[in-house]
Amino acid sequence: MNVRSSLSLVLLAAVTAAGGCGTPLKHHNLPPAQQLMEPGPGVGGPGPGVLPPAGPPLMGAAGFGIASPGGPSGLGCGAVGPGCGIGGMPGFGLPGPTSQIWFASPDGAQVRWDVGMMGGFVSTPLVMPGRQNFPMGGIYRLKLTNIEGRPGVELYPTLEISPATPRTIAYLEHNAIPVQFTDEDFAQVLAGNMVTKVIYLPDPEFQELVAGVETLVSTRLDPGLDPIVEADRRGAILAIVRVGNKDLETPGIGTGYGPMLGVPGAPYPTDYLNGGLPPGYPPLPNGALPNGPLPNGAPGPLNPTVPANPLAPPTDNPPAPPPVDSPISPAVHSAEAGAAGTVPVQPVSGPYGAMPVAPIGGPMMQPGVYPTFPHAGGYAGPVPYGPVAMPPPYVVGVTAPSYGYPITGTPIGLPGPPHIPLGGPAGLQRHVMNNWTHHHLPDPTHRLAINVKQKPGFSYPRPASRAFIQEQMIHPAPSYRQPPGNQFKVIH
Amino acid sequence: MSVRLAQCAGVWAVRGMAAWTVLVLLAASTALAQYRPNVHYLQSADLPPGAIGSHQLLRGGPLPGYFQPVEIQAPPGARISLATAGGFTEPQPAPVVVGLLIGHVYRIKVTDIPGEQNIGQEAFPTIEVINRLYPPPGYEARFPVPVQLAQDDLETALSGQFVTRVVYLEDPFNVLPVAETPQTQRYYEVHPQDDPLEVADRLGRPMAIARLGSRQPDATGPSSAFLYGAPPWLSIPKAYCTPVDKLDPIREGRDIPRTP
Repeated sequence: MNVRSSLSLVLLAAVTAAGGCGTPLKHHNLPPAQQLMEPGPGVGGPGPGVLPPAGPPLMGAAGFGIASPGGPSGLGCGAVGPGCGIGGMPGFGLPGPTSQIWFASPDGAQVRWDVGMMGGFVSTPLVMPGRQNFPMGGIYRLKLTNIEGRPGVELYPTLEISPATPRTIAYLEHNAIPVQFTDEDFAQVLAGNMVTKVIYLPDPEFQELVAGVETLVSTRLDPGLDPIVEADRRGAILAIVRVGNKDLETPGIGTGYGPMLGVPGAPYPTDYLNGGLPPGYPPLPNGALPNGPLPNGAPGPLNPTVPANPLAPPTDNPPAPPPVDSPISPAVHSAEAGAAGTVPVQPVSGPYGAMPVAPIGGPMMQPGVYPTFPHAGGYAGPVPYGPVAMPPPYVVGVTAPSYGYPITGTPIGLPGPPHIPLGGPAGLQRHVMNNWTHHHLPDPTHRLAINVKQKPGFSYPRPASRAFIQEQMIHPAPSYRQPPGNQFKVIH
Repeated sequence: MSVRLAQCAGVWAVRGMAAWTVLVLLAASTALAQYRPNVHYLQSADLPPGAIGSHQLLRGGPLPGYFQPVEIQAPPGARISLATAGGFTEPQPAPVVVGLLIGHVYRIKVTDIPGEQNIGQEAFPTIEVINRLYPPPGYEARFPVPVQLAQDDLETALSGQFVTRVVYLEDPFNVLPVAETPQTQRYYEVHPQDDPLEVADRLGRPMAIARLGSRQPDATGPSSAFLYGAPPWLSIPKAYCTPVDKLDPIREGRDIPRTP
């Protein structure tokens, strides 16, 4: 035993001598900057004391790329650091950030989009390959014609442009998002299938040798895999293209866009109420309706509410009462309320608790009213048909959960039937989640002692305090004595 | 002490222990070889343009308002334009020496890129200066920060990829003993999983970040957002930019033109 313990001591000494006390056996890590914007695990929002956005963000919502007083480049909301906060808040009246789309293929095909009004596709045809800037955070209906080898085929894909995030700003400000349609896509569409293409910027662990975007196509994935979920897992989504064979210019199809293109006051299509979601909405489990704000800034259709514009002038016109037989609350249907900017706030009980949420289309949207582009005057760019005027991401209460509300649900807290199958006794009596994540969050340092040491240090010889002087002549002086022979002289 | 243990435990035990000791020492030395500074890098090269420079300005020091001379190099024949309010300047043949403010993002235009496949192509990279040099007063223009827009980088960017190039001032105690010419700039390819800013920080002091992509301005002209507000820059005449190695050592110090 003595031998073993001694040998163990030798090993320990060897390891200590080799590694030293300063060996970084444990690295201190912080989560990435995007995650640091969250005040705590499971809690969204930038932190207490942060006011929600004051007014309806115009098309220049996020300050991306706009010269801001706080920073040199007008960084967007959500970018960490100075120059990003205030400068990235909704920029009233300023031109909004755009993403450049590079329609790469097929060669010779023409792309049109809406300009000024919806459903017209009256833009100047863009011959592929070509580029066009689209404001971020919108969904655009395109018209694809002159497809080589497929005469007479006209397709109406939608193009959804994601808002920029701190992860994608640098890429989007320097690169165009490539969008290409292949023969396989056309074959799938003409066969009656819907093709969803998700262009995303992969995270470093999923990147190839050179940083670039990748595309996931729904028809190439295994059945059951959602390309949007998969792309979101692999990186940051830049754009989503959905292609089907629906002809939007067939007579009598005018209200295909739901409330956006319908008659003022028209209710939502029943598809939405029954669990169907418009483009831009993430899939929900079991067809549940969205109750909280959705990532693209468009909250759930059944959660009317909200945030009125504090900057808007007061009005004497109260919100119009809802139709008696309408299942939808006033805020959704009341065009007057939206126009006056005094949409009533109505807490909605959902997975996040009672929280105010905005009506579909974003706080800028006037439900049921033909959506006019905020910059209609002088603006000649593409007009989105989806949520207009997307607020910037990570705005608490709008595009992120309100501060203080957990975003992690449990089977008990989730809405829906508490027991399955229906009618049976509640099976789940207890749900325990143990978080075993190692965490070390020490208190602030009260006293700080800084010891500075420079290696090698300064070393000078000690000054002399005693001297011994000895002179030695290497070559002794010649003898000046009188030669002995000359010391005596005989004088006669 | 080991001698005494060896005598007690026998020869084979001593051999086995020695082997284990050697293995442990080898493992420890391997760990030391893979040593990485225990530093949390708050910033990365993926941050939005201007974020790192603005952070740098907040750290204090003589950075705000200083026009750091930058020599923008490009392939032979290429021409460079700088952003002004509402557009770009007349193209000038590379290299171009200008003074750029720290923390601002400058959009430049590169035209006449060599190569048949690049005829008519234009690239619009950005340059962000995040630190400055401290040359002798009056000779700042003779020590510009070289930012090279290499042919490969330009072609890679025009093909749709995103290239980030971090220029750093190498650590004088950790330099590569290879001669370097002023016309070329040595560079390292960084693995996609590595952050070029972090690697540059380990090798020296990051000075500037050049980002290259394929995005083009609007057909109606570049917007202010595209030009990052067109921050001011300082034009430096070539008379102030004579490299130090081409100066006459006899005349040096007497009539070398100084920057005003």
